[in-house]
Amino acid sequence: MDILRLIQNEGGKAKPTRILYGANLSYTALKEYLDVLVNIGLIEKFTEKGHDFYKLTKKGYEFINKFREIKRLTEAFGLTV
Amino acid sequence: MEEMLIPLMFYGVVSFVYLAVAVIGFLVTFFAFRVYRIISEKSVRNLSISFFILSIGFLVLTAISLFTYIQINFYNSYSGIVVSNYYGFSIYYWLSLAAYLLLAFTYLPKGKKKSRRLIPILFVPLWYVDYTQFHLLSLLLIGFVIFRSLQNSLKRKNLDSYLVTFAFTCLAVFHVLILLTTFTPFMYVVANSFLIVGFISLLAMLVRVSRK
Repeated sequence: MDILRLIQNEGGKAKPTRILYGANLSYTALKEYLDVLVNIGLIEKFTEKGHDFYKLTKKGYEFINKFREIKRLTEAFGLTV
Repeated sequence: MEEMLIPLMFYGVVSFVYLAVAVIGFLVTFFAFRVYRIISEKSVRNLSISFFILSIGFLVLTAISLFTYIQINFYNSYSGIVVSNYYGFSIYYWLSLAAYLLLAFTYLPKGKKKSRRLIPILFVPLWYVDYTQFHLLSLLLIGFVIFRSLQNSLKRKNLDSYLVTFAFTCLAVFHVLILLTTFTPFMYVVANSFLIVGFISLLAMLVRVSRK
């Protein structure tokens, strides 16, 4: 979720190095998480001017919104999840 | 017959109040159930079920209030009013108590023996529920829910949780004021105003939560 939020805060796309610093993860762990997120279709990898980027997909945006809704509703009612 | 103390002209208005409350209750049900489908959390499921039961209760009140209004204002007849009010209010009492019980259970602190904490509720005379008993029992159960909700609000300090606490408080005030209807029928109007304000507060919370 932190990775998805980070990409969103960067305007929907971010370089792997930016995600690496923002998410405070090791390179190996980050690579693993990014692969998982790409495989489930929440983000996609693309190249721009010779640099690798990751961007949120429509499904990724929907997931963030859904997650936020879940968090806000459960917190509003004070339900322990 | 407490129902006879209600100002007659208010029956039409109050039907729409109960309908609006039921609709907002169903919206809470829908939102909570949608969340439950994703995270499969029992507390969210219980919240959804309790608001569903509560909303059905308010739909019953809508039906009997509308029936009373139509009978008196359009047919100038009192036929069937006493019976419909008796059964209608009884169903509403039972459904609301079931909803409040489930809500109170949902708000019990998490623990291994959570269900055992419900044992004292078995001593509540639920088999003898009438007008006064219903409102007093409701106050007791909602009081606990308000306490837990207030704890959460003070911890979170966000508007959404304050809106929920305010809504439960309005619901409690509604039950207190309904009891005072015995002294002045006008209190019924004030009580229902608190009820709708409380549910509007819940609606505001839902709008905020679902906002992108």
